[in-house]
Amino acid sequence: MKTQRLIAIILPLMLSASSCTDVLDMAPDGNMQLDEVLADPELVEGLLNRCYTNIPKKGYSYYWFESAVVGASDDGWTSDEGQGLLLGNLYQDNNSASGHVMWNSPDEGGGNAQYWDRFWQQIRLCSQFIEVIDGAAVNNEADRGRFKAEAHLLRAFFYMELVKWFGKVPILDATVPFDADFSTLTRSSVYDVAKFIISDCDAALAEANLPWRITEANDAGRVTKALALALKTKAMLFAASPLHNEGQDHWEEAYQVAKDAVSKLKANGYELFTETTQPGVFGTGPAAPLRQLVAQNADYSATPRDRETIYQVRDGSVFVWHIGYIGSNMPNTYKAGLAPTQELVDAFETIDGEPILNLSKPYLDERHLQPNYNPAAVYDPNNPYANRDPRLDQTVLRNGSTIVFDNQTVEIQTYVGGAHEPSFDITNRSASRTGYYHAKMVTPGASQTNAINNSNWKYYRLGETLLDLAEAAAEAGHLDEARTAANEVRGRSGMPGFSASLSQDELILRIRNERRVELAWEEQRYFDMRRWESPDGDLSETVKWLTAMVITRNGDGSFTYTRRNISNNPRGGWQNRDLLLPIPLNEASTLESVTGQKWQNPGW
Amino acid sequence: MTKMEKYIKFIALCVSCLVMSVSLYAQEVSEAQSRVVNAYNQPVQGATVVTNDGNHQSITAQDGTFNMTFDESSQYVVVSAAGYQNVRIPISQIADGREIALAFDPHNMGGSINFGYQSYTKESVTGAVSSVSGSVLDKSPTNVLSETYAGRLPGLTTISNIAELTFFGYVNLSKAIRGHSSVNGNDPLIIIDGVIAPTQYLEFISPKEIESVSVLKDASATAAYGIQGAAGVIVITTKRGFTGKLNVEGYADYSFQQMTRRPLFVNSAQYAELRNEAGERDGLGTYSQFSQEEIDLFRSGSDIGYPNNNWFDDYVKDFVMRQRVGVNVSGGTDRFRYYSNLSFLNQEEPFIITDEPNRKYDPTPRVNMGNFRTNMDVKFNKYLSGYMRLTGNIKREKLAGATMGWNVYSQIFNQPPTMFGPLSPIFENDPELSNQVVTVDGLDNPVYGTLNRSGYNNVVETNVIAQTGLKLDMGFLLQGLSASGGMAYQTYVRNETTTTQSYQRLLRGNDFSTLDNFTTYKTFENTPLAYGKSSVFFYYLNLLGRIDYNRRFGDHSIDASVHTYYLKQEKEATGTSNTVLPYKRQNFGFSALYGYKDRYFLKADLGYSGSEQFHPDNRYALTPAISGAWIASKEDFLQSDVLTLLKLRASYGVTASDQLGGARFLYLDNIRSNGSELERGNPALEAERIEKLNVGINLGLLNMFTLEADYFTHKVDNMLINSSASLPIYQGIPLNYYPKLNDGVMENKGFELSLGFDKHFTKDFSVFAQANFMQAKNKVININEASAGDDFAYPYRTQGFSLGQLWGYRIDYSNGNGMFNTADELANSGLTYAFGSPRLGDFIYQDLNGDDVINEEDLAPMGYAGLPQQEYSLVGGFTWKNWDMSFLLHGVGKTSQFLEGTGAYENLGRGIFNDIHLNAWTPERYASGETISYPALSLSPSVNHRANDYFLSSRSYLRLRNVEVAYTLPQHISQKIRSEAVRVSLNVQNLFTIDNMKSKYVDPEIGSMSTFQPYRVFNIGLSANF
Repeated sequence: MKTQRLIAIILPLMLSASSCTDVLDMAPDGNMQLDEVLADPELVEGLLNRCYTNIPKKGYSYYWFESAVVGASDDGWTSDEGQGLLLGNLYQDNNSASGHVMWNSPDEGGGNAQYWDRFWQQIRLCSQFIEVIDGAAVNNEADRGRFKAEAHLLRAFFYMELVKWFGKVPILDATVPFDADFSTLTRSSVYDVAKFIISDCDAALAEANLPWRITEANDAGRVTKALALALKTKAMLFAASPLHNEGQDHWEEAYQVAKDAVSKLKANGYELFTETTQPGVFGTGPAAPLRQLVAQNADYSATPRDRETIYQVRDGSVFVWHIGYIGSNMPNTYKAGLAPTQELVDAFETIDGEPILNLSKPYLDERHLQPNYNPAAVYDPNNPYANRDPRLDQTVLRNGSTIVFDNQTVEIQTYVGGAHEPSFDITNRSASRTGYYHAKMVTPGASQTNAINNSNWKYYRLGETLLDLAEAAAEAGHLDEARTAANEVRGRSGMPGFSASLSQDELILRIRNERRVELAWEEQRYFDMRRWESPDGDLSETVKWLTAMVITRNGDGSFTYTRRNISNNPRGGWQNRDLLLPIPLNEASTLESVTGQKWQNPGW
Repeated sequence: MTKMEKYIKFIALCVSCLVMSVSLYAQEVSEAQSRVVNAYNQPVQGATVVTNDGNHQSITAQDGTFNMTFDESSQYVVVSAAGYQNVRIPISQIADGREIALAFDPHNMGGSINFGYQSYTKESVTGAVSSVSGSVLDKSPTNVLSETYAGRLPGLTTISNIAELTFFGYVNLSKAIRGHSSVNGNDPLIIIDGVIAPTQYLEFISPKEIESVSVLKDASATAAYGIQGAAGVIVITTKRGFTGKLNVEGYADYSFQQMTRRPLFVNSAQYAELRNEAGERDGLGTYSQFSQEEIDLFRSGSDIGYPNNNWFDDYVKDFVMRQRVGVNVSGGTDRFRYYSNLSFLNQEEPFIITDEPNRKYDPTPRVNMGNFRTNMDVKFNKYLSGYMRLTGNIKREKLAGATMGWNVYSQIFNQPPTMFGPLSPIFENDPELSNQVVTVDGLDNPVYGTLNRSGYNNVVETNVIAQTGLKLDMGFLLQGLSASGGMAYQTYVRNETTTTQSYQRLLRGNDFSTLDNFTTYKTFENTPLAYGKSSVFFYYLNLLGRIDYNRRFGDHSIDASVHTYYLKQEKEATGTSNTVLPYKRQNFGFSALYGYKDRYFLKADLGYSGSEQFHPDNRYALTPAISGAWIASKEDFLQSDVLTLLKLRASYGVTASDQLGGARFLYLDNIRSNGSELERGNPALEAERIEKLNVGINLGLLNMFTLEADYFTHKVDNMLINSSASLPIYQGIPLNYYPKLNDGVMENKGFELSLGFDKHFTKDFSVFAQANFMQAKNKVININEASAGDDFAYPYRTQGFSLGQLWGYRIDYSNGNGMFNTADELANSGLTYAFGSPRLGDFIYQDLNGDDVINEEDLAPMGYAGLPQQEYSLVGGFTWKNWDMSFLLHGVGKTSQFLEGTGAYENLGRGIFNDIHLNAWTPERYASGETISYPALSLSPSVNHRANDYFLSSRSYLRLRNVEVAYTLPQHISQKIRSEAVRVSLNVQNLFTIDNMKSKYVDPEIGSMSTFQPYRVFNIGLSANF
């Protein structure tokens, strides 16, 4: 009897195990469909937030805290070069289409990687948002207008970043269905992309609910009409530049866009930051406002201190004082990081407004060891830091500079045997490779006992847009307006205006040099030196050989200054292929096999 | 832990039920006594005698005798013992008490093989399986069960990438059965005592507890496992008790372990010279790093400021010790049988800890481990029996420095011999800088500090497996029919108490002539211990049910079973992705073996299984297999003394896999609430189906030689792959989120061959030997790979090649040594390297696509993949009187890897030099015609540090895995301690290795210098049976 009872238990057990297929039904509940998202205003805001992801934080948030874009230009040389990191590989020319260090280095959470993949993801998200927002739930119609404008503007922003790195890209104004045919896809000219960027910016500018300025910290990082104007200017500047113009002259158009942008920015409360609010920290010198502007975060208020910054990312600042400031023998510093080159120092004019080198041919030799001095400048090679543009000492620490570190005043000694002597041993991370140290992004006095981060990255500021206007105007032949715009920037730091006697070519060279000085360490130079090249040019004159200043201290306390090459080998990254980043290999291969056309950038 | 408690309560309930049932036990049985002997009329100990219905069993004692009961429903008994052929004897003969004679088994056709859900006699096996007994595995004195498999189970390849004695050694051992057949999941299924145990945390089980391990390789053996069978199955069967008197075995092992390779650690003078040489090659001049005076002072050792440290010798012991003691207890009555094991292991760790007077804790790393197992079988009455097995393992491990051993090990190389230390000197006027840990720039974790000043971790790991089940003999309905059901539960808990401490690090300036140049490094400070705790828990739950029908009708035999199981796994995963959800699988399996005259066999298998991985419409996969075997040598017309065995086997079928590269729910879209859009689903996805064919032959000659050969093919044409071949990234959906497809094609072919010899020359002397060889070569035919374009010498990197094919730069050896020897050669090469400028003494790479630029377009396939394509072994031995001896030679072939990192690239850290760097290219060496073993050294990454011909290393090796010499004490001596048998053995593991590695300091199996090399183990073992 017992047995039968057991059968009665076991058999149904086995049968029930075999019949209930729903034990395998365990779809995760967290997955949602798009229509669920669109029905909830909060989730719609989440969808807009996704459009803001992947904005690179730049600055020092590259892999291993290298200021990578600056270090890849001719403005700086990193002390980390022997560590096999991003810039070390770049200097070694250790790059390829399947892994270019500029987009293939590990992401330290700063978003400074995988640009191709991420920007296209963002562009798709923006397009999708634009497509669905009209039918989505929002708390009020003002939100809907502003959200849509933001998505347009972000799409323009990411397109601009794509163009800066990769040049020509396809224009994609809508999301792509799963069954799309890619075979007819082509790369559009940079000019056409610029026009597309402008149309997105104009769509944003037409929206009444998009503000001119962010006035609340909660909204930090959100885009504004001011950004739309700066983006339009930048897009046309690139489209008109030699590398991208495909033989067309777009300078007049670039000039018009820039002129319109500057006047509207000024009409809506944007102005240069001309007076430091913390003289105790930044000093009272003529370049102190510039230093405060770049070293400190912009503030968000209806009456802000900083009316110059147009777009600043939401976060991403780091302890710059111990990773890219002054490493040598300073307590608790980590590495010297990126140090300014002699070439950058040479770019600073003398106080009378004369460049110290002949800008049309600054060096007589390939290796930059023989400067081609401008006889008109009051420059003394035996006392090189006297009588210079005040911005030099706000950008660079050089022999004889003083800083406050751990509450003590320290004199910088970069001479041989000095406390901050440079080292040319590539494994030495704590000493400068150039004889200089960086200062611009560091708030004076920062150190372990006064741990101040650098500013969140400022993508656009009025000073830069003014110089965009100056360049476009000069190229288009509007020399007076070019000078006016450039002089406004120079004047803020106490530098005299450009002479009216400069020819167009001379003025263009001076404005280019002005960009290098004013925008040093702001990741502009890397792109500028490229877009000024012709498509078949290279960077052999700028980055192939870079120099350091070796200073020896004589018995009488005077110094002898000797230029030397930082490395006995040419630095990588100067070839024609280096004008643009390679499209990731898989992507280029896929596009080439699908479209039958060449997609890869030249040389890769 | 509430689940645990619930479960323990459940077990307690079961036990009390069992006890109550036992008291109701009553049945009509007969009893018999008999004796089992061999051809020399020697008693056979340990032979099992089992009735055909499995209801009664016994085991022979030392004198070969056994007692057993049986009832009228039993037809016959099967007597089997290791090394002997099975015999089947009608019950009537047993009742007479007649002696049973067992014949030797030179062709290894005796005994049976456990298929996980069912055992089959070896004779009836139609497919491809191999097996080994636990006592053979026990010859290898290691702590990780899978390490004992190497070379013992033909067809199974194990690769141990980390030779650490404990901890991560567990989880870094990969296994493959007959190579790889899919790009997705290739992990074999593990079944322990009939229960699926999808975990690698079984490595604690000691071979002492194991009856046998079998490896199921073909479709006939694995189809019934459905979606989990595609990568093959490893079946572990633990020991059971048999009716008979109490048998107690005590054993003890004592091992000395020695790393097979201790790395070269150059002295300071050598180091300084090599750094200078690198600097010179980089164009920095002759003495760019160290002056001649400094080198001389390093060499003389006369100045404390010029240290010469061998950090490896300072921190790593020459020998470590391991002790294991344990006891096995087994026995039982016809109603209740038991097997118990209790063992304890103590493993020393290889790091040397320094006594520090002010330290309040002891960081000495060590490992203690205890195992317990109890397997109980109960017969309640004539119809109802049951089992209960409880297994567990508790491991306590202390880690110095709150980090894994391999982490500490790898840092040793980052400390140059010229580094001062390990501690700074005592400065009378600066106590803050006195006695602090010294490091070098860039090294955050100097070894001394990690071992002595950064705290420790206490890790307690607990594994518990509980299985219980009931079996109902339904002979009252149909003779031979039975039904059974059970459940199994396994948990793993890791509890980690971390105590961490920070400590001051000091850097020393570059001037060796003074000791006054220590400065603090970064912001580290001495801190007291800080505490932390973390734990991990996961479990597996199995429910099983089955119906069996086993019956003989004259010449006909049928073994059929239908089984079903439901499996739920809660894995270790943490975080917020959907991998934290439990994994559920359900399977129905059907197997039927029909035999005629014990010489014709036909077997059908069917699996029907599903997992939550797929859309309900495509959830279940059907996996049929058909197979057959013919023992031709049993036919009258083939009876001969020469051809003593001829068996032909063939199987064909389908196996399946739902392992989709770790991803889950790929049929669903996944949009998260913050708006982020993840995977896009493809509802049409289904399980991968791998078709397998196996044909084999067993050939026996002269009752001593055996040849076994198998040929197999595996093919999959619905492999899960990305849809990325034609998809540009620019469309904006990340390609890994794009819907996946079932479009991949891959094949895997190979063969196995084994040649054996087994002969008993006299009653005291026998010899055996067996050589095995396996080859498995796979080819990826389609994974939707996009062509890299015409500029590439090889536009496809995966399709058309073996999975894991290596790619590198070919060196142009046309000038003899493949390096730029002269400035002319360098200038005239016309080559540009896309990854740096070549210097004199650098490699000349072949420009395969002829564009004068060396870049990834010139990459070429070289060597093989990391998984060996060939594996072979030779086992052999003899017994002579009370002595027995055996050895295992094991090797792999057609496998390679690029040497890289520590030990390969001389620029790493502050410069790490290995044997290959000692004779690097210099103009002087070239001019004088000296041997050049390496291109020009460099202080920084050079163009040589690429995957290339030079760094390509064959990982083929031949190892003497194991040698055992044992002596069993004569009975008149062992009886003095009332023991039946006392056995003393000496085992040596990994005595020597023959390989082709570029550096003799890198083991071919480990493939890297910066982690533990395999251990050579000398073990003395003692066991005594009572």
